[in-house]
Amino acid sequence: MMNPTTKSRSRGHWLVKLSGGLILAAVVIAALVYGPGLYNLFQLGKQLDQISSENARLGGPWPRVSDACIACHGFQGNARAQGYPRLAGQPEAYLKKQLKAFASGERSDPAMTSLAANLSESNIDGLAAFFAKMTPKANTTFSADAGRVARGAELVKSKGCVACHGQQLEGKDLNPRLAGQGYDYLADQLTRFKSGERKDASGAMPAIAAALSQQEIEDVASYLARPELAQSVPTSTGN
Amino acid sequence: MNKQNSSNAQVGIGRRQLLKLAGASAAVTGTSVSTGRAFAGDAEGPGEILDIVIIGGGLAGLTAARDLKRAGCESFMVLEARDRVGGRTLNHDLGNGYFSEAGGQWIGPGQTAIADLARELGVGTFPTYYQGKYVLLANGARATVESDGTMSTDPKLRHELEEMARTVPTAAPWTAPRAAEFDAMSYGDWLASKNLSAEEQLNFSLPAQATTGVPPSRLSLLHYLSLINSADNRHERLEGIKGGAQESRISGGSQILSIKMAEALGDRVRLSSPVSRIENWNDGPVAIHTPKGVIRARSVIVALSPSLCHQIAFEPQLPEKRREMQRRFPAYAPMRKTAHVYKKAFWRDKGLSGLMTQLNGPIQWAYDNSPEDVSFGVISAFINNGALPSDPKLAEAELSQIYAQALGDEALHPIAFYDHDWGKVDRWSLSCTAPIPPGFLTQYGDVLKPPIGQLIWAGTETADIWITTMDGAIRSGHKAALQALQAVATKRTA
Repeated sequence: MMNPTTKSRSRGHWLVKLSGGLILAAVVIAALVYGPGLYNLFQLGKQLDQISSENARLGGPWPRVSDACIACHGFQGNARAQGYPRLAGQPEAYLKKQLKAFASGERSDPAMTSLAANLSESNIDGLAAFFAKMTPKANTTFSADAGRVARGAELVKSKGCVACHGQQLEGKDLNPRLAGQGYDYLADQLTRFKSGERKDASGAMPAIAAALSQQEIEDVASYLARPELAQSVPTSTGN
Repeated sequence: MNKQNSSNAQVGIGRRQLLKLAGASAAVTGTSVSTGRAFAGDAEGPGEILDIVIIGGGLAGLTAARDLKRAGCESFMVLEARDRVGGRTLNHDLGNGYFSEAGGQWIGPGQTAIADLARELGVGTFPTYYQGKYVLLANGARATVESDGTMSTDPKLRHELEEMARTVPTAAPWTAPRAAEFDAMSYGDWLASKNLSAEEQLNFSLPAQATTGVPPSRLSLLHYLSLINSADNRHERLEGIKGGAQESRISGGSQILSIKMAEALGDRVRLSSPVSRIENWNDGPVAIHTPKGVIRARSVIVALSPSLCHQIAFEPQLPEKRREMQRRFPAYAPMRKTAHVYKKAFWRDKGLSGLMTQLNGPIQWAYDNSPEDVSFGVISAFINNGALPSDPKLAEAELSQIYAQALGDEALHPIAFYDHDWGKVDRWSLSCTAPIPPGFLTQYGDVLKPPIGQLIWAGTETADIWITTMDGAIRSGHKAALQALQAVATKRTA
């Protein structure tokens, strides 16, 4: 439906590629000669080019398969809605395994099953590698209840979550990063493990979740989702 | 329809089928008196069998039901999972008889099925507002550009797309002469081969994403061409506002069509009746399981997307290819739509259309969705579901800030805010439209439509033209009603 950078031709050559010092000169000239309208357009064009080259640097040349993930998982895998999982900095092996599990039917979700089932092996490898190397940002759109966080911290400690998920819950190998994950997603997945709807090969998660009450699930999710935790945790990747 | 579409392999219902229908409806009418009202109560008696059950109370299912009734069939029922009708159309009630839409909302030239339905139901249409400047936002920069509601993509490339589209019938893209070639690549792959500037990449990407739900990298070229084919083989007619499929809006909000159809159908529409299981679909009578009991029918119209079909247990199992098609059918374009309501459509006074695009932010595309009489202003937006906080207060405030940058500080004070994330609200739609990926249509397309046993498939995905639109849903409903009447008549005469 409709495209945004409307009437590109009538805008003349605002996106003519310029480089180095020429850009500054051109900005000044554009402002003087064409007035603020075109100047703004020129500024916008610069941003567009910057976004475009930054995206290419991170994810390879356009068009990128990973662009299809943005709508739900946010930019560079840092979702800001609590119900969509954050993929940034998840261990590559974990991401690969989950995509394959969705494709095979071992793990089920209407959106992810159909998405993964239509991906090639190399698509899956590429996506896992891409999101694993993205930097997880703090989950700042979640505000935690202090009481819940305190109870959640105790539970995380007593259940020994760090044994599999890493000392700082940063995730390792086949086990996901939990630090700063979306609250609703965490609560939903724990609920699914508890009900048996989601399985894991080791049986560890269903067993742990089964022993948690709904209240405790929410406490654990509150502790894990809080932004302070994510900020203090280094990414698991690049080592 | 239009000349170009006459090349479609399976357009509409032929005259022979219509003639058969005349006989079918007579036969159905003749027998329905004895069975029709027996099913009005909640407790269906054992052994009693309806002629036709329709699963899904969206535009497709309700259109089919309306046609059955008009054909004189008395023995049918519509089962709807939600406590409302309308499927992927949904009105936000703004008060005082005003609505804005959370789901599908536009109609355009060539979409004659929905135009006819609206006229028959006494529902008006009015033009989408696009007059004024379009606002672009990127990393804090803001610019405005003139816009006349049409496309600004490279006309040469558009022409190339349109020429290819001519050979891809919407009804059966997999039969196109170059189907294998077009389905092996994504629309993005094709665009990439044209060495586009960043600006042109955006110009082609964003409309396709707004229409299909995914960026071109995961969109089959074959599928996209089939959409253009529906639009008279004109890219602009598919994607534009002026002269395009976004040209007009429906007075009272798009859901009004379903609401009016359901009202006329009365207690034949059963709400809150999700179907969990369908038994004996091969030989019939088919047993349809809902939490409220089992309903039996000779013929069943499944007016659901294939993804929703996949949530139902079939006994015996559906044929493997149909099953796999349903499992793989893309359900990953849930769409999230918001509406900011303002006392006035203040941006219009400033020469702004209210249309805007934001790069690297939560808004894919925002637009003026004010009521026809502009008694107040509405900015609606397609949102990147995960890129905006889920907390409604945070979401509203963040969007207000963006609108303020785009349209002025008046935007900071909306009088109401609506947020609908189709991916989270329930599991009865799953996906807005279906962004078909490369390789899908040539492998699974041929099992999308053919009825199996006593099951007739409907829903916009099965239309012969304008698939993915409300118009396609209505077309599919008309077709399914004919198929069901015919099936029942055949059984009775057998």
